[in-house]
Amino acid sequence: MRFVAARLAQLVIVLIAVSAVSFLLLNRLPGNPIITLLGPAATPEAVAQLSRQLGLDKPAWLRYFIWMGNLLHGDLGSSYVNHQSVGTALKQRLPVTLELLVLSQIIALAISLPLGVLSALRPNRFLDRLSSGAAFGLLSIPGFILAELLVYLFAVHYNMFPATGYVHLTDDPLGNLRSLTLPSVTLGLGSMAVYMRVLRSDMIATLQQDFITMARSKGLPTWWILLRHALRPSTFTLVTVGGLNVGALLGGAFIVEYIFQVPGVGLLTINSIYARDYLVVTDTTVLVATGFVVVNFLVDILYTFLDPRVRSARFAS
Amino acid sequence: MRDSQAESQLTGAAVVATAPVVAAPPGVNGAAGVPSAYVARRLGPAFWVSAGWVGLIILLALTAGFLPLQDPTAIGDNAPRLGPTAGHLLGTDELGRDLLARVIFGSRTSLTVGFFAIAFGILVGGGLGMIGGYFGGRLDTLLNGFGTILLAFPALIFLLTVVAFLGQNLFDVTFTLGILSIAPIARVIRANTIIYANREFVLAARALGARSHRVLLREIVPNVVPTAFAFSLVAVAVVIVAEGALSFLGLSVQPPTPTWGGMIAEGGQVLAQAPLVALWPSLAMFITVLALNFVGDRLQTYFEVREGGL
Repeated sequence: MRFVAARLAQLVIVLIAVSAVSFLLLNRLPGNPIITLLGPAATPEAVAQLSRQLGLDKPAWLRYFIWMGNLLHGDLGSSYVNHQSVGTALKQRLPVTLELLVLSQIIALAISLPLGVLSALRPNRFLDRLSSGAAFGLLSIPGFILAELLVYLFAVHYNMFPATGYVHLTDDPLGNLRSLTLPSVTLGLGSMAVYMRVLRSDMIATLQQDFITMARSKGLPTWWILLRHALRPSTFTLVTVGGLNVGALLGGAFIVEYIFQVPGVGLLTINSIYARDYLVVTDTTVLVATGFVVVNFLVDILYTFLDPRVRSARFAS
Repeated sequence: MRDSQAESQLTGAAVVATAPVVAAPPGVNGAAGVPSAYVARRLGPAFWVSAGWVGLIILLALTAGFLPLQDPTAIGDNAPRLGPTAGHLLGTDELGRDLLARVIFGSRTSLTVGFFAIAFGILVGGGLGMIGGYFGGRLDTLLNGFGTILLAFPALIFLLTVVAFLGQNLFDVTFTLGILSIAPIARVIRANTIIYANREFVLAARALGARSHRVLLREIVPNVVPTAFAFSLVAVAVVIVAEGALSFLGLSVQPPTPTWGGMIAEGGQVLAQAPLVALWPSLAMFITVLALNFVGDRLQTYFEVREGGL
């Protein structure tokens, strides 16, 4: 428990640091939201009045505390540009991003688990070489290139899936899946390559352990050994990497959201950047950073409970 | 696990993670005795092909001004969306600009940002990592704490916001990416420094009365440099992808300067009519990133000190 408490304290420190640095840095950056709102021809009086109204005349550190205080009360403020509440906007957009994330991870795991296990069973044979090569290639394709390739193949050439747009789950569940197919495949293939490589190398190590030899000598069928004996102890690194990856995708999915015009948090961030909507950008950056840090924390804790060796080592201390 | 985590943090920065090195951090005991650890100490033809491509693209970028290429920004000289012909080996884009010239000139942005950002990261992050790893103690704890906080930032979204507000020019993009690369590079270099800091030859040098800076420069640096070089090639690939994402969004070097990411975005608009416009810059970027990853990955295995062989 002391380990959990220590990690929790670290989490709080990192969260404060991340939010303060994001807020202060984004506030210090050039480009004035007032000028953006009123246009360059605004009179000094109008600028001063609007600054007071938006609270921008106060020093940055004071605004940070005000903003933080409001945040802790669940108030994320409203956009300077369209006066929409950021909380409401996020409430609409977060589920979309999370759905995209879940779908992409399902695709990634559905391909990487069987491929990783089978490649590890016969390392350096045909299937292993093929899938390792494919994974290496996939890792070198930037997401936006993969996205354009998929759009060209499946939207332009074969017209199987829509290239852009999003259908709400409640409106039309099947259309929702269709509209998210290409974006989640784009994200999923990138994750898939990472997971496959990690699982493969852990699995190879596990298959050389004594308890596997023991299981083999008992005459157990190979598939049983792979699934019941070898898979679980081989997934520790996968869980860590998967968690880190999901955390990174919270922020990394935005380019895919932009290409396919999926109205998630990422698209909101990009559109707010284009509109110079500072508060929204700050809020989403801090939200994504928080998600990233919290996911990493959870992965670390989960890892402790998953691996009995780590568990006993950490509880002993 | 620590350095591989740092690597995955850096790679997480990119749209596509470069986990080749994450998969098997050097010295993972489980991998020993597996046929895959039996990689011959030869670099192999694929390595030289990849290294050749990297060399070629650097050479083209350096000499682009002297090559008999058309003006990559001249609008209206040629018919738009030409297929590949003798006059335009790769065809022309929507505005009639020669695609070969644009791909070659576009490599300048990607390579400049990639190599200079990582050079900066190696200089600062490598220095800090080596100092922390060698001296240890409170200084190391402090540097490590800063590193943990820096790594907690989701790099790509941060990069996007900073560059969007700071300015979309070569210097700001390179500098921001360089800053973001410090923490992950410092982690890797620190881990590698620790491996050597307690070896016998370092002890011998200290016993002979060598001062810290001499031990660092003469004993540690030569041993860390090969791994750092291999890792930095992979890091350059990550940065090239990140810059590509920025210019794809129109947030990197501004038009009319051609960039690969910008060209891919333009080509995406006419994907149905002229898919080749997007294909050429995509291929150039993919092959360059693949080659850098492959060369870096291979060198990492090549330089790896095998305990069994000592």
